[in-house]
Amino acid sequence: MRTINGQTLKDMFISGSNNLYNHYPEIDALNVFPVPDGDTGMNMNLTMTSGSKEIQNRNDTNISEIAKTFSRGLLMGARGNSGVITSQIFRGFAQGLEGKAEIDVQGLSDAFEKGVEVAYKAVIKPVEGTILTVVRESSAYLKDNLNKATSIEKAVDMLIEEAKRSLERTPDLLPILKEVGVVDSGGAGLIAIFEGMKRALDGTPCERVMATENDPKNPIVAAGASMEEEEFGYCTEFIMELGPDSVKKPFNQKRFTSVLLSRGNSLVVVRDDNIVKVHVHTLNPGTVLNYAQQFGEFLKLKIENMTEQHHALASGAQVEEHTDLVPEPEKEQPHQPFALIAVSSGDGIDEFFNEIGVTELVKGGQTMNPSSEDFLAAIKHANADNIFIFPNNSNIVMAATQAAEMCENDNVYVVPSKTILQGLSAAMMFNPEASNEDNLEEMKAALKNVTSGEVTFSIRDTEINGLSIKKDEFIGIMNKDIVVNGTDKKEVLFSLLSKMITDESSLITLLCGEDVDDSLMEEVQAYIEENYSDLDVDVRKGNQPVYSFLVGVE
Amino acid sequence: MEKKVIKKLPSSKEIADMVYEIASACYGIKGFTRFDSQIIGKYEPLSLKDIKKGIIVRKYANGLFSVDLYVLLADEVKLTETLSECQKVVRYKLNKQYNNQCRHVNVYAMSVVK
Repeated sequence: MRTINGQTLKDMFISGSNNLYNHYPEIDALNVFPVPDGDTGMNMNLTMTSGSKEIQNRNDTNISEIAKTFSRGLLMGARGNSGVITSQIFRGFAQGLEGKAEIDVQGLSDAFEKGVEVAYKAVIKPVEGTILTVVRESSAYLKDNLNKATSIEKAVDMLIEEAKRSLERTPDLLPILKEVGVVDSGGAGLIAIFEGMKRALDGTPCERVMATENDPKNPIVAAGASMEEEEFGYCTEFIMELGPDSVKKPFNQKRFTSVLLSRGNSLVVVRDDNIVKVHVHTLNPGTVLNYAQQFGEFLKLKIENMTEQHHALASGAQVEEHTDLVPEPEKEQPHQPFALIAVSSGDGIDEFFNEIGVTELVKGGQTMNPSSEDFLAAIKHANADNIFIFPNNSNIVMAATQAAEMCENDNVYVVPSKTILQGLSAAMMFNPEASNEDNLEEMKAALKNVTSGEVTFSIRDTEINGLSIKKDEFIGIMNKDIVVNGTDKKEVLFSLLSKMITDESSLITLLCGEDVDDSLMEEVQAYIEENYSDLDVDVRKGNQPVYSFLVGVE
Repeated sequence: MEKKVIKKLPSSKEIADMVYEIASACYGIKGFTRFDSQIIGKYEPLSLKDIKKGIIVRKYANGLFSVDLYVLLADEVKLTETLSECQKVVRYKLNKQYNNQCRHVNVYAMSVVK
């Protein structure tokens, strides 16, 4: 191929974006900080996906228009540092294609060179040994080694080969990479994009496969055809009779709906006296049924595997239509004076938030990055005059703040909670009879009283903060620093607690992750009550992924 | 039980120097400026010798400190992500250096420069 036009570039960008999607967990794993919540791959993936969506339906053959549109999508959807840098590289790339309908290999090289120039301009002191170095060195190599006979395919091959060599050199430029034994994650992400772009040129563009991480230690990637999100999981429908009050929990429809929304989608809940009808699409029907059974007994139950239905439809088989148990659509959320919105990462944590009056939950935690749009949807759904948002993660505070500024309601306030435990503590301070300003002041003050800690596992061997940590060992983190490590998560938790608790402490809140069974939870609770008998203790099943324990000390 | 040890802090100048080194390497930060309530509109970058006027360090009686940065951002970067990342990195490195005694870091975007 001697030239490429807009359509070819569009295919390259989309294929690059898909390839990055298929590999983002591996790129996340390269993150320097050895906590399995690295977000470089995810952030670059979300950024590129935003760009791809912009050009998906464009049919321009003009290469300049496609590049400009893609660049705009990247800018709007940029997430994290790596996403912002990626957006600048392709912004410069688009500037290099300004006014051109198609380009040859020299034009491609000039565009990459411009990308480097623009990317480097946006920082006072560029840090070498990062994605900036990889794009600079690969672009320079391409420029120095191409000639008139070089095809576009060969040029991109040269770019990728030098990018890989540059990536291997990044630990020599950035000491922290060498210390932990990894290459730069942003550079690795860029190579994934370039490789996807090359696949498009070869006529075998990358499609998205499911990068599902059921187990963070052993990520499962399903090969095969991509599937529509709606057709995955179980269509779960039931009718239940509430009560009796002597053995069942009191039913609150708003809270019930919030909890189910965190476990599935396409949710419909209708109550008629003491009968509740539910329809939900979920990956875990068992957890939905277990939760619902706290409030009543089932009269009718139906669960269908939508994945199998999809396969049957795809193969031309007849599929029996399911009996219509779908009740009438839920009535609009009644307008209310106040609403609390929180980001949560486990169904047990959802319940905890619901208990203290949080009615809207946004999926989040360390491995996800809810966007401003997610918060806007929650604000709209809350349908309240005054709203308080608890982001519960330092990465999410900005998105929440942006959403609060973007919505029409002036009385949306962000309480800048950086951890789940901070958010819980702050939300408990809410007083519906106080003014918004007083509530905000009280809740912000509550944040400062919480020391947050986590126990999780290391994804690689590393030396950090004077600790020698092995892969799969458990690590205890206090206020974002690793302070203890060991082979037993329970012992690591106990060591972490000894560092977190002071003479002024009065309350310990502990949320146990999905990997902690009931017997371990009881053992841990007994230990804490015995060793910290002066303190109030609240131990619960949070069911959060990745973190065995989330601890808050006040 | 272990008690948190509050270390004696270095001078404000030393903290500001460190913040300057960290923030200068943050992607999207193009310079520092001095906040002036009389100015409406574009802020000008500070010269190197005045750069610390864009970094305000406040110390508290309990041994904690906070930092305010008044920054100029690069053109056409996503502002929210740039500010968030700068705040995250500055806070992380300050707390590592000074034993978690940094109370908060505020980053104020004053203007965008090409």
